[in-house]
Amino acid sequence: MWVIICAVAAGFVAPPTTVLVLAGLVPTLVALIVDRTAERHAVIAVGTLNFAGVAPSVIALWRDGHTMDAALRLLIDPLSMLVMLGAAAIGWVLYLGVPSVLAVFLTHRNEAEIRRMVARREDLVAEWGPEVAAKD
Amino acid sequence: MAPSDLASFLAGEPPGPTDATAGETAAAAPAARPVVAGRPAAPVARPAASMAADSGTVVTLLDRYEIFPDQPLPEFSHAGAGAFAARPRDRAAGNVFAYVGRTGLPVRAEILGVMGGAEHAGLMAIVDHGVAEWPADRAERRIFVCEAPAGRLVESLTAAQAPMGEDQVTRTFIRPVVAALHELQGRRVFHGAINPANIFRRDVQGNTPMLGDCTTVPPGFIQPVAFETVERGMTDAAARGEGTPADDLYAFGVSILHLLLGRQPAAETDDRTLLAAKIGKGSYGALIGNTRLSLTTMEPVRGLLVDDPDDRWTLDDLELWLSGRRLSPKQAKPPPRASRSIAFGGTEHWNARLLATALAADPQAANTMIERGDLDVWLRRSLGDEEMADRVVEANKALFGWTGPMEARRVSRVVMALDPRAPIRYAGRSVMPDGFGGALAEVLASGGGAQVLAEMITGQLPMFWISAQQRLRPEFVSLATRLDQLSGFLRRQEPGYGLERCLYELNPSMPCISPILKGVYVVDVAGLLGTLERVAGDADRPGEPIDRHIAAFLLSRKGAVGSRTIEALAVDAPAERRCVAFVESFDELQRKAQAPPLPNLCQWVASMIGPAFERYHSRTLRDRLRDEIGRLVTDGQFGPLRGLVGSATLIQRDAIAFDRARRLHVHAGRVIALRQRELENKAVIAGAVGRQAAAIIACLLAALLLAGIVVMQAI
Repeated sequence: MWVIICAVAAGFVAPPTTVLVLAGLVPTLVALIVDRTAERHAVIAVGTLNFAGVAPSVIALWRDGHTMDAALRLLIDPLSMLVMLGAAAIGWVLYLGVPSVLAVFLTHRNEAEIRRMVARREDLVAEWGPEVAAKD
Repeated sequence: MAPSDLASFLAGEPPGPTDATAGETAAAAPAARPVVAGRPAAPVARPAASMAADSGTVVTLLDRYEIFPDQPLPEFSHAGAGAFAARPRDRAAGNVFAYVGRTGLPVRAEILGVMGGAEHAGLMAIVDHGVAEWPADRAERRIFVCEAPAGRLVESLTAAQAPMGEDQVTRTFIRPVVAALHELQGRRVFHGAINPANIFRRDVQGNTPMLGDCTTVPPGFIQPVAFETVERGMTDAAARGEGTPADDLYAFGVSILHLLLGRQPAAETDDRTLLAAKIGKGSYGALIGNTRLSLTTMEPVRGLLVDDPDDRWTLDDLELWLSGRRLSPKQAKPPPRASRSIAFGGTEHWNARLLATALAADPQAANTMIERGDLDVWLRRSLGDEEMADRVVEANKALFGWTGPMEARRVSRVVMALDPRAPIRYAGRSVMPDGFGGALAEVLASGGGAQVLAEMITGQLPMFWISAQQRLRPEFVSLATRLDQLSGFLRRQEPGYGLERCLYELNPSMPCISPILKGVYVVDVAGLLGTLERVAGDADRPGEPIDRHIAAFLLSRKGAVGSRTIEALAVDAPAERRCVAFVESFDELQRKAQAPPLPNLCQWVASMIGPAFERYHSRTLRDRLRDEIGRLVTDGQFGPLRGLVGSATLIQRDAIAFDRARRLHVHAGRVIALRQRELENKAVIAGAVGRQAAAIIACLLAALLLAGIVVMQAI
């Protein structure tokens, strides 16, 4: 709700910028709708990078006169769109890829540590006898 | 040799009719048959079958004497020791023969030194003594090399011979024996075996008698009842305890009578009847019977046979008599006679002493009589002895002791109250309070049960005997202390206590009779260690080198080893503590006895100390200790072994390290559990953490991008 109110307010104050930003942040809006978790990690990951991707176009708009035409030109400019959507895509890649990578890492690390601890316990039993494993 | 012949051989009697050759030889040979240096001059007797098994065997003693087991000398033998021909290697050492003690019975070590130094013509000198293996049973025996007499005074106690004239008895017997008894009294020695069969002729003429052996067996062990006082005669042979000079004088009196009569006094009477007659008529009346003695010889005989030791003739009285003074011995006082008899065991009894003897012989019936109150009524009304009746009441009430049937103890106490001077009589045994040592030695050496003796001690019967005495003697104090100590030993079950401890405490000269020692005669710690070293080298050695006998033997040798160390050998003690205790015991023994290296014994003990390693947790340490001990045992020293096995520092360090290892083990377990949980939940963890990480990475990237854009614009 606050986003809509802010967007409407911004539309009255700076219509070109508002159009450009709203169009550029569509992936973030999609993430906002899709990510229903409390932490909103997808929104954060996609949103921050998407915003960083929109920022060069907004700066160019302000530099080129801040008109609706300039805003529309930037919106149909493939390079600008690539930057805006590409950055958002990187956000999605991070959001979806890091957990998998982390899972693989955890598996390797834990299995290695388990092997090390089992070996240590075997060494202890060999040196001190099974009574070293006796519970108090 | 038939069993009967063996018994007669042990009794010191000549061979029986079945041993015709020996009998004829003995009879044909003169009574005084000197043993010349080297082999005996004449065959003394045909060798006993058991001894002949090793015909021609020579036993060497102390490298100084040769003893011939196949040449027994029955005329010198007695029930406690066999006599055998012997010769010194140094021919100038004189004529000797050897007494070979019965295995198991303690010798009288306390008088051995005194008697060894005695060079009195009236005493058989002990030339030397030692221990040697006896071929008959391959067991070690204590052997005494004694001065050889020319022959014995009488052929045997039971054989009749021509009576000696009064003058001859006085001149050739009483006078020299009085001198010998003076020598004994001067040396504070109680002989305890004075009888004509143990008195020998020093020379062929027979003018000088010499008192025979008194050291090879407990005092009184070989003494026939006729030659003992009433009290000692009532007592079991091995349990008569240490006597007094007055008891020797009594035996001397009976011996004089024997020579005057030409036969043993009252020989036809059995011991029980003889004792009853001695009590009833007095010893003199009982022994002399209908024989008439001249007034001259009657005096010393009557004086020496007085039953009350305080009224008995002393050596001074005998000296006075020998110098011509005539003395009047006190008449024997018969025990007080009751106005009416009391029937017990089918016999009418008229005095308390005889009744006490009868009661002791049948405790069950005696208990019934006591419970009925018949005894009390008889004592008060018929005997008129209120004091004795009160003593009996007291004895009936007393509740000393804690073992054995109460009825038997009650009867024993009542019997003591009736006849305080008599021995302690309980369950068929009669023991003087200072005779428990001999009694225990006899019973344990023969493998018999000693339970009755234990019950007597723990039942506090000796203490009651002391309290029942009407004349207290100073030695009772130390005796009571000793008996109390014995009672304490019997209460304890640990090794080093019990009957075995009593045995060795009461008999300091008793060899250790542990079966581990395989018949070796061991009387000191050094000998024990040496013997164990030899046994350790045998293939058939026992499982453990210390049993109850050895433990008790060691504790009875004061200072040999600490009592706590020995107590730790208890069978029910923890195995690891036990084997350490073995090492500690032998270390102490080796150190204090300054014994040489004992590699075999070390190896034996080391083979048992496996459980001691269980005290160490570290397997590496255990292996290293085993290797080290394997190297140490070859040195034969227990000290380093003890240092390894019983090192408190090592044990403490091991315990600390083990505790640390346990904590590490627990920690490893926790880590494993944690990692396994993480693996099981990796999807959840990776999702939660991964998404958070993705958000953070995205923020960082965005920040970098924005910073880059700003920088680019600024440029």
